[in-house]
Amino acid sequence: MVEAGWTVELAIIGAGPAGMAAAVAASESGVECLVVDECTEPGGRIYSGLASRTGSEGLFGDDYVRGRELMEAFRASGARQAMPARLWEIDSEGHLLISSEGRSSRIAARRVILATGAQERPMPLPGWTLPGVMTAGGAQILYKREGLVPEGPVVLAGTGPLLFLLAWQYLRAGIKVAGVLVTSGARDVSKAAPYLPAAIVSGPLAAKGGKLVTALVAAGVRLAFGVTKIEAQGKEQLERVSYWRGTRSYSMPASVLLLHQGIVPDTRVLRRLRDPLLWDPRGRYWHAKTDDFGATGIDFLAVAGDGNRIVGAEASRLQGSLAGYDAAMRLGKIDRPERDRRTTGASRRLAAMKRERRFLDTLFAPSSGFLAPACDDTIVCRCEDVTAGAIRRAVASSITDSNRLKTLLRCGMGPCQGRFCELTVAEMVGTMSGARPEDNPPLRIRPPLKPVDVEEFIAMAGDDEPAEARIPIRRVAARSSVDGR
Amino acid sequence: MGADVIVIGAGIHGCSVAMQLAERGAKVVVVEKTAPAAHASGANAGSIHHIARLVPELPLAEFALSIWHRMAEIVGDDCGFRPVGHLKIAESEEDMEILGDMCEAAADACCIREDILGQEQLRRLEPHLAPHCVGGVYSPDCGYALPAHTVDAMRRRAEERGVRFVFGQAVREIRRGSSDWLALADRDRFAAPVLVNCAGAWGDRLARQAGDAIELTPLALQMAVLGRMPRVMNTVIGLTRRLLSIKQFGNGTVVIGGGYRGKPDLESGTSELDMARSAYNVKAAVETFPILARGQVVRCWTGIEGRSPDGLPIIGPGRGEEGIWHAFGFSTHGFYLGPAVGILLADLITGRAPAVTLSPFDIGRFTAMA
Repeated sequence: MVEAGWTVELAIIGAGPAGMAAAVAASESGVECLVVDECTEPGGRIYSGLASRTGSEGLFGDDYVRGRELMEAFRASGARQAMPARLWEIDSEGHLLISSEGRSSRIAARRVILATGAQERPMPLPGWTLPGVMTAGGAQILYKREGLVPEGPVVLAGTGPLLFLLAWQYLRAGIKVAGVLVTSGARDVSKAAPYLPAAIVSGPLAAKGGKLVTALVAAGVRLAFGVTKIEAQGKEQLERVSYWRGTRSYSMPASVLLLHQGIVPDTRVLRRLRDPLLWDPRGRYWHAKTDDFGATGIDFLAVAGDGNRIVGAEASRLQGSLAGYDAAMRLGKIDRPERDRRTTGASRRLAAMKRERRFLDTLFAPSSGFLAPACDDTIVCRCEDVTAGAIRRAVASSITDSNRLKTLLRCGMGPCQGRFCELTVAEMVGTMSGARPEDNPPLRIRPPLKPVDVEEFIAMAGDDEPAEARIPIRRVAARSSVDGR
Repeated sequence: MGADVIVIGAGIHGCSVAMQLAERGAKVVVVEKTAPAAHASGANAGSIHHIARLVPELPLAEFALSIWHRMAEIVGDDCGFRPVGHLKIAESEEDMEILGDMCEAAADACCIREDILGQEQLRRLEPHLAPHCVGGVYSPDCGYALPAHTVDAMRRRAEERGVRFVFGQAVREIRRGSSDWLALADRDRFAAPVLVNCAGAWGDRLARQAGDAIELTPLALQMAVLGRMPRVMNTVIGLTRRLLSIKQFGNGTVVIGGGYRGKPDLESGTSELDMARSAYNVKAAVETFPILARGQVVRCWTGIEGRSPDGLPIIGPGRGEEGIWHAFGFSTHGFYLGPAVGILLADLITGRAPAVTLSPFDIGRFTAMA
């Protein structure tokens, strides 16, 4: 599927809304594209399972079904697809190492668009490592892609549009939702209220959200707002969920607890290439500085969609389109006026969507009480079993740098490479030391971007042994020695 | 800001000598351009062994090994030191002969225990070794430690003893005044009668400012780590005539290094992996322990180190000016030697006789050549 030694004009990493739209725009302008995605089908997280679904897509809502149009356009674009395939290394000259079908190939790309999408923000709390506790986004993928739904009383907890959407999707599928514990409260609502009128004018998002909540209430789902503390309890697996609103505590039996604290961009490729990142104080994540077309500080590299700032599926699609036409211009396929002509509509629409986004981002801002665990024995790094207490002790001994904490405590050194703990550690450092996020840069990203099987890795060695591989010593006399290593 | 001693660099040597000087009653300030153990001290693979070291270094290596066995007492933390033994493997009969010569040379220079192993003993020690390995040399008192952890433990102990650390300021210029050394850093200036240069790969720049002619070759150490695996090996492993060093830590992760180099950039303080060389490195590991083929590479990393013209470190007084002392250019052997060098150098600086002579490492050997 992926041929070693290929040179492509444009490599697009990720086949979600942004990646597909970029491929459509670039292909249409005569650019030869290669689209790489880890899944077997295009669609990204948002349209997961849609490509092969017939008949049941209505269960997931209108926005899901709407993905079909883009998917058809992507199929028709003629862009080459490498799926499932995984980018595991990229260098500053645009060489990509891509793993596909058990072997890795080196590809040269003249330009690269990152459409790597988002991941869920970690929401560490007591008991979150018990079987039965997982993320809402993960559960939604299982449902969309595999048709798997939870059994027994299911509780959703946290904040963000996805939390309400998933509860609604479960209801439509006849799954009983025991409760939705919302960690946003009156303060978030009053902060967001000023942005509501503009949001209503500029798009349907606010109205859609209102409908979801109304449907949940009508179905008799226990909705608790302003939840300040949550604990997952059980011996071998989850049995109960306890929660607090201020000093009042509540408890309910549960076999599945789905956590969600919003989503954050996956910026690992940007960091691998050492593009300096900026901190978004509202979304509480790192992102790259770009121009209106997604171009970054690295000359061959652009980003589009949730892989840089959280903008949602529709804005991701528009950004992908802008990046695709811009790539075509930079590759000499279209001129600047042509690029501008083709992107005017999308640019205008994106500007309007910013107003909706402002409302959503404020309403669903990550809840400050859930960014870092209050209890010292809560595990923060699940790969290496590093507790909040261990991190607090290290920060108290004046280690206020996530990279050093990683080296010393191993938080971020396991197979997930920090995806599950990095932001929690950064929040803990910020809270305890008062350091600005700018003073505590995110984890340095080392190759491989994702773990690689040893056999694939050593295939990168090529045929000729490096000159230094054999140490030039021979037995000459009874006294000999070699340079140390 | 007054002090008795300014130490430049908070790698293992800077932290070690600062801690030892403070134990001897000196008021010490350590100035570091980034963070503790940011380069070779934190990026090395943590091997604690002497085989394949140059002969003039062996007496120092022997003393260093004895210090590692006393780390808990000296630093108040065992620094992750595990004397699991070091095994240098022969892949051929000729390798066996070379190892025999190396042992003989080592035995003349130091008393670290070394046992020559045949096929059968080798397999008893390391059952997963590839069949082509014919024997080896085993040093049971050697092993590994945790580099970043070690430097941090020393930093903490030094702070407890009153050492002041200044991070995030590079020393741009050093200059000898009428009585004091002046170190001009990015924001502050420091003055003290004694200056210790522990600036690692950047140490030659400082040395030249103090009238000591020396040029290091920068290099980038390069390692790969495999995610946790069931027990594959027990000892720290090296090959006789191929670049390879492997060890499996207590948690099951396997670190692979041994001498392939990435690309260092002294100006930015960053280094880049050479992917093809990393692949060769891991390939050699799999050839030695075929079962490693089942593993996953989870991370590769690099770090900057400086190699001296003769591959031996520079330790001792400056020869161009009074009151400056050097401990840099460890040429990839620095982590192992760090705890010992701090003791010996602190003794020299405070006018005591060191337990091991440091004369083979005097910077004068290069000045004489120039």
